[in-house]
Amino acid sequence: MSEFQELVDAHYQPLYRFGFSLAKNPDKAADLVQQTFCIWAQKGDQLKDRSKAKTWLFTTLYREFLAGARRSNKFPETDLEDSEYHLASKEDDTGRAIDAKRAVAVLNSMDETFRAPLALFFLQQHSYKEIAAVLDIPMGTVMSRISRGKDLLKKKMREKLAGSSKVVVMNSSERGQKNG
Amino acid sequence: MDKEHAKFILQSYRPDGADASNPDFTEALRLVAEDRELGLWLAQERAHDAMFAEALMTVDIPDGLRDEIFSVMEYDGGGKDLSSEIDAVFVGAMAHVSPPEGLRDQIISAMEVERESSKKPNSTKVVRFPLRWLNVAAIAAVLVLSALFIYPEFNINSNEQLALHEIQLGMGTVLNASYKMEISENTLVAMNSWLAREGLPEADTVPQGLITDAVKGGKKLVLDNGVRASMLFFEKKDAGEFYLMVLKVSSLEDAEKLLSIDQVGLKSCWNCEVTHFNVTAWKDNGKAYLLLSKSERKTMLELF
Repeated sequence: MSEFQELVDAHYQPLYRFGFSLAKNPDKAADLVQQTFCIWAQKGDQLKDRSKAKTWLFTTLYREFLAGARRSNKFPETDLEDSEYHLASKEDDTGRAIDAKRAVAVLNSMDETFRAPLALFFLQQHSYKEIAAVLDIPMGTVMSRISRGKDLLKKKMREKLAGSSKVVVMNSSERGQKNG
Repeated sequence: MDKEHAKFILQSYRPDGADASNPDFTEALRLVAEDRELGLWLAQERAHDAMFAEALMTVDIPDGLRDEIFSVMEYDGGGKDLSSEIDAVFVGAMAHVSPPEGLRDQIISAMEVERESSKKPNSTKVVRFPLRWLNVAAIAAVLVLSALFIYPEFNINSNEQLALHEIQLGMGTVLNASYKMEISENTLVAMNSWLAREGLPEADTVPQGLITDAVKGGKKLVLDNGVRASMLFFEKKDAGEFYLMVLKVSSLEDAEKLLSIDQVGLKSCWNCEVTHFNVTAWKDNGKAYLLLSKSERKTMLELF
């Protein structure tokens, strides 16, 4: 198998998932992956350290996304439907109750500032330092956005649950505060 | 290190444990081992993160994406020295060309389109043609090719087969520069009757979405190798404009790449970086079809 085939097989799926979390559209995500490998075909030989290929690919995809978003001037934030938050059980804590589709929807509803580092974090392909390299932001900023982003994720889910007629779920710290 | 600072650091600790040996987390993890509440917090945090990580893994990868990536590579960086082929075509073409009236204006219009295209930043398009194409000689060759499409009386008669990408490039360049329909018809039957009277290939295999209420008219074309081709123009409400070229399969040197119309899908629809048209192609008994549009690929594929 050629080096290029190995690279595609190793990375096209997580690249697509990252592209999907950015673009929120399967066609555009596929386009981003295509463009990324096309650029690799043209310029990848300039990368001396082949161990950095993964970071190179994710960085390129992210830059292609930004270039496309700048042209279309769109960074939409999507409101979630209440119907996506039917929980299975009152006893389930927030994290276990939400299913995969809703989890992705919650993530996709975040502002791009948080969505990009969170998607890379949850894909587990990169350490926070590598995420900083992909997004071209300082490491401290990455940690801050991951931290704030995760708090916002939890807050979004709690707010939706609080607004739903089905169930109210509190996390353990809120339960402690309520009980005094 | 205090507890809040440890929490801040550990929120970047990947749930699959990939950071276990990362020294950046050593101090925070030591604190977790000593503090029960912090340990419980980390366990909840990792469970929450694992749920999102697992959720992201359920995002479906489109069928055929992997194959499409490799297919695209056939058009980009495949090792073929295209610039020397284009130069050869250019030299040969110029040796036989007597410019018709109006060609100068057509070329200037097309050059303005090319200049604007080369200024644009990296686009969201799929296929990237090798940049080595876009030297001066190549651009001029493309313009000559496009002139061959505009002016049917240009008939160099080289008897060569043309490659699919050359035909779609020429077609797209013509459409971007200027074109005029020779006949206006609003039904495919009437359009095919005209094509038959003109001795041109008829459009027998057309996407379902273009068969009714979409035809606008047509034009005849003569390719570099003397073959006559048909051009049909479509406009579909809420979908956009579409351009269909019909020609004999024997005119193509790489017709074996073409599938039947019922096999057209994401894998067989690509974008031309030069002309910015989305392109798909198919063949039936003896004929090849190229469909071009500036509409989104998804919209194009919905016609089938």
